[in-house]
Amino acid sequence: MPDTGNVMARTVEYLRKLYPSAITEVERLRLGRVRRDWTISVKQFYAYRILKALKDYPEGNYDFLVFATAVDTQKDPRFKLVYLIRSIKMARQITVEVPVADDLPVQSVYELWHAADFDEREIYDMYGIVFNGHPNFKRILMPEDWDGFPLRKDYPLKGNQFSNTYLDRKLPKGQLKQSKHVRMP
Amino acid sequence: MSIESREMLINMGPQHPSTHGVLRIILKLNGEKIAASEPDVGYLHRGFEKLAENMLYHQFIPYTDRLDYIASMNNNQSYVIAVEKLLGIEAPPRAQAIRVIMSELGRISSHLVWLATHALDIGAMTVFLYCFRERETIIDLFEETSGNRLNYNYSRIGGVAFDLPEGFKDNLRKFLDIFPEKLGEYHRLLTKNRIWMSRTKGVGILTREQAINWGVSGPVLRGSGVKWDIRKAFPYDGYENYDFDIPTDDACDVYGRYLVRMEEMRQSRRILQQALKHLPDGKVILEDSPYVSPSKEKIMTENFSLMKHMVLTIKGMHTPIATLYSATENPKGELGFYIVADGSGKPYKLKIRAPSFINISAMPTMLRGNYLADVIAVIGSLDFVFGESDR
Repeated sequence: MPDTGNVMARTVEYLRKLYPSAITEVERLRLGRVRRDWTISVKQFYAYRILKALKDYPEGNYDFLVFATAVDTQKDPRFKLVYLIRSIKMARQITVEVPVADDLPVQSVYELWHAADFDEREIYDMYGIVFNGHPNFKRILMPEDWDGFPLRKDYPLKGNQFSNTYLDRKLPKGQLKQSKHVRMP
Repeated sequence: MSIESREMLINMGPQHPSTHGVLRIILKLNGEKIAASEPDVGYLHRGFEKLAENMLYHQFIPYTDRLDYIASMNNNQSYVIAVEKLLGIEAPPRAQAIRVIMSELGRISSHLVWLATHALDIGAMTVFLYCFRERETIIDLFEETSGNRLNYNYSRIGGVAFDLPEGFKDNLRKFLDIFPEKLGEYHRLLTKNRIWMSRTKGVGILTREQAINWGVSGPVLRGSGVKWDIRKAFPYDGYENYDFDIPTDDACDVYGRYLVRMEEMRQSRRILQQALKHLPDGKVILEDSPYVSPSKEKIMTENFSLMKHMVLTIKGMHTPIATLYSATENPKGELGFYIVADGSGKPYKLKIRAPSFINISAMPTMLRGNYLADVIAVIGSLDFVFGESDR
């Protein structure tokens, strides 16, 4: 197998030359005998341009979006968008992470990869992150009149969708009522 | 007299018998041709990703059975490999070979179900009966090994649950001997059949560029002429030691995808033969790993083993703090697991990259300009399963 490190290092170097202050972190993961996967963290302001640059990367374009998802980090900024992009020609893949805030809309990458169509709708469905420039933006897996975003960490695990009697108003949002019949040790 | 003509909206599914589950498509028709369409998924959503965040790593294995329930063995293998990579362990060679045997049998069985239903949808009843006859043999093999006929729960983190039963190798060899003849039977029924060809050729075109841009994977991608297979590009479970080809077809239509899948069954048989020939001896599950429960005998006789088993079952294992994506080539396409591990016994986040989900999103492109009756052919050629798509 050709040298993974060099190809990925060249890719990151190319991006750094284009947008010097965009990449905040580069991480190389190596677990056991796993292939080295590269992850770059990008500021939200540059995210679309970095992804576009990767798609048009001259050595072998990263033309295949494997998936896009988000992670609720429970820190500030709250969410992290994750794009895994692959170059079929070079058989290489790179993960792009973009920290985003709760309330700011994000530029959709539908125009770059149509594969983001369902994935971005799913991110909105599960995390409530809004994408700008998506042609058909609405919920996908949950019913369209559903309240709340299930994969957020503060979403209750139990309860009735039509009433909030399960929830304790005094506790932070999403916590369950303590049962009165729990015997303490 | 003037006849008024305008575009018409038609709702297909979710109870339509040919949508292979609960797919609803909203079709905009111009006469008998499709002007636009929009697939609507989510009727089978069970919140697997949320469930995974609240259970231990090994507890999620049976849930993966319920993703693509036609090929449960492959899903088990895919998830278990992802967790093994996260932990930095590797299954013993015999376990890896058994997993390869099981996943290739799963691929053949899944493709047989696809061929059966695809042909039935288009109108060839005979093929359905023949395919299910052969699938029965495979399911019997699975039942011998794991005790179940549909949801096997056979792979374990660090190996497989049981060794192969006595007589398994002979039964498998028998099946492999008769299979080419049966495959020839299907080819005789369909490949040169004039009705089949006129129903499938030139229908549901997805060009090479479109296929890559829409992110489709598996036989749909290869049916569009892209030579891509995870087993070759990022080998797992020792696939680099097997000799097999990646079939592709440049026709980019339903017929092309049909040919690719038929050839894949032949290639799977080749892999199975090699795996049978070089099946190594030894353990089927790691023994001294801190992440794997000891065997039942040890738990019952040794105090330390009992403690280890208790801790693993109740608290789970301490994983490295890492983020990882691992994918395998399933019959439907690329099934991947993206795991964010925070060091506790439960995954912080687990994203399932489901091939069916992404393949369905490419459907409007294939349908545009085709006839209403061709919707069924295109659905059949995409071969999706809703357990996986809706998760």
